[in-house]
Amino acid sequence: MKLLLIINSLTADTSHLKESLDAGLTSAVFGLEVSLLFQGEGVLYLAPETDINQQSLKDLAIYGIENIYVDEQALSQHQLTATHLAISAMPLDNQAMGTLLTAQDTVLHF
Amino acid sequence: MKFSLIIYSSPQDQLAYQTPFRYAQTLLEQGHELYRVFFYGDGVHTCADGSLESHSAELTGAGSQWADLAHKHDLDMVVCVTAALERGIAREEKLDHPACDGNQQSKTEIRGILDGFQLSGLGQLVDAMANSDRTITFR
Repeated sequence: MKLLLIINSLTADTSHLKESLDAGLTSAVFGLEVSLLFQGEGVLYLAPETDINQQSLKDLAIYGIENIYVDEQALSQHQLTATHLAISAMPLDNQAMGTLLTAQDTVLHF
Repeated sequence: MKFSLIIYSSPQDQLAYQTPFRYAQTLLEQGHELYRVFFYGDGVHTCADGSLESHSAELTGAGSQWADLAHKHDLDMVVCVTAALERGIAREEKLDHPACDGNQQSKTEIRGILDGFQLSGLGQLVDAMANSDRTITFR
């Protein structure tokens, strides 16, 4: 089963990122094929210099979650570049995001 | 069709909490099945019974509404235990009971949540996604 988690908001509450990713990590433990897509203000969680606790982002690789994508338009809107992010993420244009979404069985928004 | 709902929004946000409730009511009225309602993130405030100091009793209006719907339709409503404990919605309490032989027995009870809701882990979220035709997130 293919699951895509979309993180497209940013909150000052540190539990938002952790809880979003926990849903992905648990799904991976149960054998789901998990992908992540950062959109909108959610891309700021990937910023290389931030006060946000990014430990849960670094845990993704341990759980075998390697399909991490980011909206390239949102990156440029927030003056970020794909080569300088806290973790490696593949930038996607609108068409590629559409293809990614249609390939999923379930999509969760956080 | 079989649905599951994930509710991430706090009941303090009137619109954000009314939308999933009306969605649930409507899909049940239309003959669909609601496999599970999973309360996560700030959505866990919905199940608070008002007995703990960390939240106000007025929030429980949303929870009672859900509890009534669950009772009427025999719904499975699960609250993420970690999110609830972190937000002080629920509290684990060790109760010591004197046993018949005079020794103390310890039992852990969780208090602070309304009847009709049950605390469990994210495995229930994964199970809901696996067993539903559609999983809808409200945040």
